Amino acid sequence: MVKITRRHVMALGAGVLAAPLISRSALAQEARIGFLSSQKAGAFDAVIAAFEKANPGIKVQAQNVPFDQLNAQIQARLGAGDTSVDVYTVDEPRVPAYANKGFLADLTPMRAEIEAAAAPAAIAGTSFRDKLWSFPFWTTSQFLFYNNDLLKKAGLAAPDADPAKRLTWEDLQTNARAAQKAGAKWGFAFDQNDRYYELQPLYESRGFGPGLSGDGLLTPALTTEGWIKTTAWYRDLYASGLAPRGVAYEQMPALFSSGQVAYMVAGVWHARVFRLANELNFGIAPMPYFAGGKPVTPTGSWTIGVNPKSAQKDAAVKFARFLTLDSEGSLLASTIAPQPPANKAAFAAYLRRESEAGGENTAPFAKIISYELANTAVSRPRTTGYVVFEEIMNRMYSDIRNGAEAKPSLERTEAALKAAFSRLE
Amino acid sequence: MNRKQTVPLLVIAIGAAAAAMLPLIWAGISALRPSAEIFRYLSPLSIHTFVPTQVTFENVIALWNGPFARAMLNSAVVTAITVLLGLVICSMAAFALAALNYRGRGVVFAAMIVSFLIPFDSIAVPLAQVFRDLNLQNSYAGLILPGIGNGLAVFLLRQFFLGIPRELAEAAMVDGLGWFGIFTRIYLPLSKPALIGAGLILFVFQWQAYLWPLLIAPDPDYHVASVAIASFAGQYDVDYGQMFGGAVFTALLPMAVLLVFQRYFIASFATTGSKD
Amino acid sequence: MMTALSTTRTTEAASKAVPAPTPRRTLSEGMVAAIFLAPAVIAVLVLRIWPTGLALWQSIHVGSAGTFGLANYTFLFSDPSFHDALSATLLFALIVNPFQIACALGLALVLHRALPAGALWRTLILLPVAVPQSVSAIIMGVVFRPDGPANALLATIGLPAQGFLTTPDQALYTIILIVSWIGVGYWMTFLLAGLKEIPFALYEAAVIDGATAWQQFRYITLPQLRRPLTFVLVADTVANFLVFAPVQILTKGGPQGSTNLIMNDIYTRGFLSGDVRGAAAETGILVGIVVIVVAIQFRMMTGGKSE
Repeated sequence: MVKITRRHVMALGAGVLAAPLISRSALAQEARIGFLSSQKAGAFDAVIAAFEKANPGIKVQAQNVPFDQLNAQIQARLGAGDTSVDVYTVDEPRVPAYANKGFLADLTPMRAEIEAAAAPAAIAGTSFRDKLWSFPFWTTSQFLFYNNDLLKKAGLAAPDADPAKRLTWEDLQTNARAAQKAGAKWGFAFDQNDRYYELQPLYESRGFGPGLSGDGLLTPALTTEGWIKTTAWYRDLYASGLAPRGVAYEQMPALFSSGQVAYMVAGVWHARVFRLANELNFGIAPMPYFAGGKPVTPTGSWTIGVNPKSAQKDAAVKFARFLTLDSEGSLLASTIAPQPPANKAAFAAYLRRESEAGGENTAPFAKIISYELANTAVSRPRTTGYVVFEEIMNRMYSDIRNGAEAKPSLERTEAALKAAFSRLE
Repeated sequence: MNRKQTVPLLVIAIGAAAAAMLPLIWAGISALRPSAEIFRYLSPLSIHTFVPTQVTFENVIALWNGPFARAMLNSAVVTAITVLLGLVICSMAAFALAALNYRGRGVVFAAMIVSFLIPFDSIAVPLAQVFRDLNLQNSYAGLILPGIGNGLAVFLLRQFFLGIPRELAEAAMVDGLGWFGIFTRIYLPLSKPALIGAGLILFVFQWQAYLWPLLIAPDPDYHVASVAIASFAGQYDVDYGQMFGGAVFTALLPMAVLLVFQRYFIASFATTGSKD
Repeated sequence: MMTALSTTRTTEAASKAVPAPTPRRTLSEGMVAAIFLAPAVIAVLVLRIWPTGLALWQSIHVGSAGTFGLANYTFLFSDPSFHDALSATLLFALIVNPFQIACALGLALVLHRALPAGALWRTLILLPVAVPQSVSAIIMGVVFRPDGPANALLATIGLPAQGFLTTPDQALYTIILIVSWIGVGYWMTFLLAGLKEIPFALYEAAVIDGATAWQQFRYITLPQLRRPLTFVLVADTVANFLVFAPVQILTKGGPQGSTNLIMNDIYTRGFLSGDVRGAAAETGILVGIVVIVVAIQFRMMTGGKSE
């Protein structure tokens, strides 16, 4: 064995020297910046083209990964000091965790400029420990989408578009059952069927809290009576066959646009996809609330973070600024992925554009979004534990949707959260 | 074999081929549907589950006009180089592990085995860091290198080489052949099926690679097919038509290559003689 | 054609082997071996073993202070998700490996016969392995949706709808079907190559002796297939220990942890929750388990001989 080792070591050296080292390094005169997001390829082509035209000498490379892999990509690449990501989209409640890990450049010196351009609620979402960590990019809200044809078949009136006269969950459930009896394959569905983001308002509507409490929101509070009751209600939607099991989130919109769902709570961005689907006669109304509770809607969307280790930091900041603080850039960035911009000027233009494009089906678009953002929107908990909290909660909802009992699942999840929080550094 | 046996066996073969192909055929047909229709006729089974109500080539045209074309080319180049280089490197190692006698052979073989027990995705992050330091990010070399030293391919070839009697090598030496000649003129020509098998292992590793190319080649110029296909999935809107179309094309290219190589499997090597 | 060529060369070489061999050696066999091994050994050391060493090194770091210890390992053994992962992985391995090898061997035996258009069927059965797993998992996810074609098919033949990936008692078996759809054709290909190597004369002799088809299989095919079978058994087992993409895309380990295969647990821990050291420790444990299993398999298949 000794003999072999010595000979092999010599051969090893020779082999390493022979290894090819072909790599294209960035051209010196041209700044190339990488922009990582979870939108589909091409979603930001328009805004990138406008930016490159205004800033000759900077090239932006869009890097697109599926939503489920974005967090993994960020942890794997920024965590290992990869500088090929200069600018990336950060989901608002992940800001504290990423800031804590050193994945985000401190933007506090630009506070005045950011405050002038963006809505105050969005700025709160990008702050952590009195510092600003990312540019407010998008905000968001939910609608209750409904299929007019299926409702008509069941003799149901279209839900009122007036936020003051929104449906209660109790009434919605009754109507959805009637629609299902009259021929709808599914009476009701959440599009993000197992995501905390869309389900948090169920608890907040009745005042049961976000499921986290204590200092730094790092103590799970899932086994309260209110949480158990509400989770059981959610479970029943699926157990009773009102809502579909086993359909991936990405395939939910297709279920609605092919006329199989009577009512669906879904993100405002779906309005674009649905109006592009031929023969779909649909409408929008505000998200329901529980009788006796208060109306609550989810909010909080993507923000734009800058890699603190970026080798092209000036160019990166320039591009991030263009996406968010520049009203033209901000509006262009929301065409294919049509989320409401956090930029105040672009937001107004966005509402005009989307309302005009939507026609009859989405007539109350601007009215509902403006009302919800001003009155009912509740952010997700801002804590360094949010990233892992969300991963674990989503898995729990998936279990419950598939029939697991509410109480034992909540207990299991609480234990899992405690274990995971103990690993935070 | 008589005809009585052929029919049931043929039924089994066709049944298995159909089971393998049906999901892909469905995906291929879906790529020819308008997007709103892809998930419409899943259930109950009807003629429209497999026949579109209207055929559109929009998805296929958009697919080949987009970044997928470049990515497909990258995949083909990267995979072809990986298979060729990998075959050279792995067959040489397998030869040394099967035909030559020296102390420590067992240790080297054990190291080869252990190397393919290691989940590559678990070590991709630290390895990518090293590759970045070596300036291999966004390069073909960065994509190819992890695929060439494949312990599994070495293992397969060694298993095969062990079946070639050592007397053949010794006889060739009498004829004045060196070890290199024995390797290239006796072992390699006798081992075509095993080389194709090893090529298949090297091919699948590289063709299926996803996490590694994403880490090491974020530049769209170096995207491979699997990465380009995944980027059809946006958070708010997934382009299933293009995604399924892309998946079918990534399968068609290797199918063409495989059909060519299949004839070597048909050839019988049964007469090579004294296997133990 | 290729057959004829190689056969001739073989017999020629063999016929010259009559005098006692006195090989001409300028380099010792060890030296020659070193040269032949160098590229592969370097590749494997640098690209596999060394980064694994790095991961193991990380796994014994504890806390931000950088002290050493086994806390990452002791934490794992107290973590319910790791327990889920261990039991799901072991159950999975016990079922999926015999199932896939039996299917692959059965199909190989069928396709070994001279069937009309045999090469076409072989290629088609192999094809799922060429589709990127990120998409083939989505396609199979659609097939097994509760409102999908699999249930539609069951309904057509009068069977009740199944939950498939949505029920804890069926999800793991559905994953087994999906990975087998991908894998069986692949493993079949290696066994088919092995079958082609068995001298036909052995069967002819057996037929003359009046052996039944089962006896031919048991006493000729199986023993002659020992090397390719060892390869497929080991390689398939390893591949199944490392299954990950279909689980991550289709179930994320659920429902209720029933499909939380260990690679999915490692991915969730390291990439999603950001617990890199915990994930490194779990990788170490996984490699340890696979090494033991594979060592046992080698023992079994070779009867302790060095193969």
